[in-house]
Amino acid sequence: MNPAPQPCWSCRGPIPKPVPFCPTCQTIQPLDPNLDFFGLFMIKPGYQIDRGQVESLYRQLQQQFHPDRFATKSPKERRYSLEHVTRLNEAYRTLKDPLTLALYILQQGGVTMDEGHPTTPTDPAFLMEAMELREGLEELDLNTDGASDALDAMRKEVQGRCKREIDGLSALFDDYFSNNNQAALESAAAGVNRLRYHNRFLEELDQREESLF
Amino acid sequence: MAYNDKVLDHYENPRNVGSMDKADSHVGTGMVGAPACGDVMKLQIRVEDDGTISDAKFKTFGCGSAIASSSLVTEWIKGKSLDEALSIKNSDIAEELALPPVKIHCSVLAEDAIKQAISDYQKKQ
Repeated sequence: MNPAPQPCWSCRGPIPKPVPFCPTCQTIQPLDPNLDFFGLFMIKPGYQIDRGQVESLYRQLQQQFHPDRFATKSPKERRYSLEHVTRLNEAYRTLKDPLTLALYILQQGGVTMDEGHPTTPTDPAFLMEAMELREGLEELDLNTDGASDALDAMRKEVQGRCKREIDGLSALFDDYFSNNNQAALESAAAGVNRLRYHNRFLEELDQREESLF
Repeated sequence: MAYNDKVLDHYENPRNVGSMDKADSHVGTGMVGAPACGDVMKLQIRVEDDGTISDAKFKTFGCGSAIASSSLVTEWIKGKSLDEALSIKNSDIAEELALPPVKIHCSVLAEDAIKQAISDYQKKQ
């Protein structure tokens, strides 16, 4: 799995394990392709991550790799800095959102979400509820006085459902990471699907709300 | 993305939008969804004692192609027998509406909705 360590491309000094900067000459190194998003942020793989910590690490790392700092360096160094920053941005976007993070963990764990096929069986009772929520939103008359309050109530309701899904996913992903339980990952896929419907509803709600103002 | 005229027509003037009483023994309800985009589609049929579909209604929250696919199939299945309705393939829908490859899944959704509605009706008999 692990290729033999390569020496620093610039000073040929030893680099025993992949690091972003050479310990000898401090020159930027190519991005380690085996590093996942957790490794990039040097945090423990998991679903319940400290988003405040991720935010501050992101700012630190972004500064470290920012192309502006390499503007006067060689083309190779400029390219490496760009590679690091691009990957860092991608990792940050993925880690900060509970849905994209869940999808990432599933994908890394080898669970495909079957994007091409829409009918990944979702519980009909759940779909019925999702339909009723969408109908409630559609039928709401925005010209009435209480419309804004009604939208807030719907948002709260669905945000509560999201929260419950996320709590459920946290438990399943904990089980997966602590006990390497692949079955937990499979169960998580259903929760992720439900979360996607809720997110779609909230997007729709935001759109309707915008038309109020 | 430019939509085909037939898609636009069904999108702007959807046929047979509405709901039926899902507890009615003559009514079959199909509920399907596309998790990747959060689309939900409900298709309902009313089946007479002689086995023909006398009415069909749909409700779809999704993109123009999903709405057009469900609108189109409600037109197609009205007056048909259950077997005839079951023989409708997603490729027929996609061809009629000239759906681009990225929207083929909308026609799959409509085909699955028919199958589920018929199976729901048959379970009630």
